[in-house]
Amino acid sequence: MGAHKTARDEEFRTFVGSAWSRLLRTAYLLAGDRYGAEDLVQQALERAYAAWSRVRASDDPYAYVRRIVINEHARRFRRRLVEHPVTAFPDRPAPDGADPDDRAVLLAALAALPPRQRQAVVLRYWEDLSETQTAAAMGCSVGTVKSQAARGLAKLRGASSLIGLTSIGGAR
Amino acid sequence: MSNEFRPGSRTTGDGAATDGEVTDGEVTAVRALEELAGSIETGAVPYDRLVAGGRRRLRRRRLLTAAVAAVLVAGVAGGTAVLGESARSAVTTVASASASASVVTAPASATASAATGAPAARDPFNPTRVKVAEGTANGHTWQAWAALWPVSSGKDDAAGQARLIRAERAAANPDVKQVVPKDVERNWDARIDWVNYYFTVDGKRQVDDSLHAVSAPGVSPGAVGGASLGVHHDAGVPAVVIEGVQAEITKVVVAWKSGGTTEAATVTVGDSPFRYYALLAKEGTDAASVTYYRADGSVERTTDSWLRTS
Repeated sequence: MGAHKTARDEEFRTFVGSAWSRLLRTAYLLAGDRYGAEDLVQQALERAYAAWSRVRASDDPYAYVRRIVINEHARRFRRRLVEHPVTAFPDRPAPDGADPDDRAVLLAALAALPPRQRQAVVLRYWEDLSETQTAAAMGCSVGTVKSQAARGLAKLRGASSLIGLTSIGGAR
Repeated sequence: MSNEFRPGSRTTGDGAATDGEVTDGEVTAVRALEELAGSIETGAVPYDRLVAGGRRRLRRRRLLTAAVAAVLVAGVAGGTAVLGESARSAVTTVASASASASVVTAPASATASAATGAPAARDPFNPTRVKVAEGTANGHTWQAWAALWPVSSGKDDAAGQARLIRAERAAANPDVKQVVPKDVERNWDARIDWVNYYFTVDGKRQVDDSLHAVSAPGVSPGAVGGASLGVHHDAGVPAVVIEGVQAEITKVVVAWKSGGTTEAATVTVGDSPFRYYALLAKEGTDAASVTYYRADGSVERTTDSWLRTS
């Protein structure tokens, strides 16, 4: 019992150590603020711990936990618990001279997307999932992913900060 | 970074792309989101908090399972629940559908093995039965009891224990359902004792009672709870409140919405890792707050969330 618990905790610790940053950043893009993101990830990881035998038996534990994050985000949105207006600036100075104000505007634009569009955009373009993988993570069809991501992208394209950031990054 | 744009991807120059093609808009989105996500410091992993939260969820799930077992094993058809449920507990309280019957206290096979809180040998077929409080109201004497049924060593014994508990409860409330073997098979948990709260009026066990899953000794004491008994069925006295609390609690004070307070001392019940108190509710009102005191007089906590007595 004790040895089992120790082994379980050790596995979980290793997993969390490797997944924490990425999960938090994904959650940040979904939730729109750091505190909401931390709460989202914490809840997801607590659930993962409670169901660790299932998580570790899955093909991709990270994808499993990310799915929990996505579902929890959707659930919260339905309950209107985490749709805070975005007022906070990023927590560290912008590298390469990027303007924090631009990021705040972009974050606000992202937060303004309907949750499914936001999820599709984040999973496709931040998590770098294929449309098929995104569909699996969101529990919807590939067609839905395409349409949601395209709409979300179109709205984000209108955000001036997006243009500014990518100019700085040299994409144009 | 996990999602670096792949140099080999082909851009199409517009917003539409198929798998394998990347548009300028998508390149832009990738870079922008990368910038945005990279702008937060992820900090240290709150590992201990995560594990503690995960364990809490595990305990809650197990206790809920145990509580469901209580409903299934000893459920009452058409019963009305008066849930005395604190946030940390999984509680099942049942009240009889037949409103008037009250039956003479007659434990079917389980004898009163103790009238004090002294720990006795753990016998799943002989509960430690403790009179938690007593008094007189409206010309009637009332007594609040807690019967602690230690966890059995296996599912076979659990089935036998469930039948004993059921028999005892059914003596006061014929609506208590028969034990179904499948329920025990599915829900027995080696870390869970059962405590049955009930009360008597003028020596008769009343129909309302409450069966709780409580942590057994030696495991993390996370599960216990309380109930208001007799709310729905007139027993001639106001509702009787019984609750298990953390071992450090020695006194509980209930403040009533209509004014006044009632105080109760906690007692031990067998070797349960919790202490228990009982008190008579004030007629026609609910609790405004319940305050829990440690032995040194300090307040452990105050809550206004769970107690309903009218």
